[in-house]
Amino acid sequence: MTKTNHELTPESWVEQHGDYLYRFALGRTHNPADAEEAVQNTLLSAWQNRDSFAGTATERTWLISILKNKIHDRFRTQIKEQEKFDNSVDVEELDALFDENGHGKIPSAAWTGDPNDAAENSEFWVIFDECASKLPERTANVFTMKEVDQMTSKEICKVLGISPSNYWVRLHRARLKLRECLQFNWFQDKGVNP
Amino acid sequence: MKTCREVAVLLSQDVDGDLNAVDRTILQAHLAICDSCRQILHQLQQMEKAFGHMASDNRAEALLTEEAKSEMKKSLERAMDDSESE
Repeated sequence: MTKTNHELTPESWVEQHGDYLYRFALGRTHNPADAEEAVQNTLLSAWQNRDSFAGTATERTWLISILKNKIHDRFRTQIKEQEKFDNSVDVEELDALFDENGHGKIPSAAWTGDPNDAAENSEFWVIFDECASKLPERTANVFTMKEVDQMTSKEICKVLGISPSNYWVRLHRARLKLRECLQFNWFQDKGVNP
Repeated sequence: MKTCREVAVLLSQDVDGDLNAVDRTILQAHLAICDSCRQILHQLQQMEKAFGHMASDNRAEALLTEEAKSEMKKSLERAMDDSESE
């Protein structure tokens, strides 16, 4: 196999970094098939752009930066496709969670369990991924960039090309839908599948 | 007095510490009379605590399948072969 400049070792990428890249992608796409596809595209893209590897970062850091860009490109494409329809959908989708008197439709219930304990339980993250995978893409993408990639609201608005107002509506809707799903499947009745 | 819908987004802004003084007053006035929104705000704050652990390696059991790995290796090898034959 060919060795490139800076000692890249593509023949070992899958074994050495595959699972790590997959977990990184899964935490952002919440879907195993999409995560696998993102990893595969990343490895191919890395090989095709191997000359851009400056050797100043580790191979894994370089691969992660490519993967992150691939995922954000996908988010951006999804947003552009959705914007072709109507931006007011964001407000309408949030409105749908409230009745005509402005009261929330999702029943509220006291939660059991400590969120820190939940976070240390791998089963919680399986439930979380299932809940997150049910979010509409337009809200899921904003939520992921905020909570997983820990980007600021300004950065997210810039990358996705959306207004601060749309950002907050999407983020809040994502949180309300996740709250509903996690309440039902974890904090209220732990162990039931979504 | 604002409705739950009208203060909804303010709950998320409060969770993220991104409320201005005017909106903070509006939200506090609503929370003073709304048990439901107080509970939702508390739960959103709890979710934030849990999500704070998301960046750590809490998906340690999530692994690529052998089938997926094999497919990736083949695809990468094809790309490398194509590159060498150019």
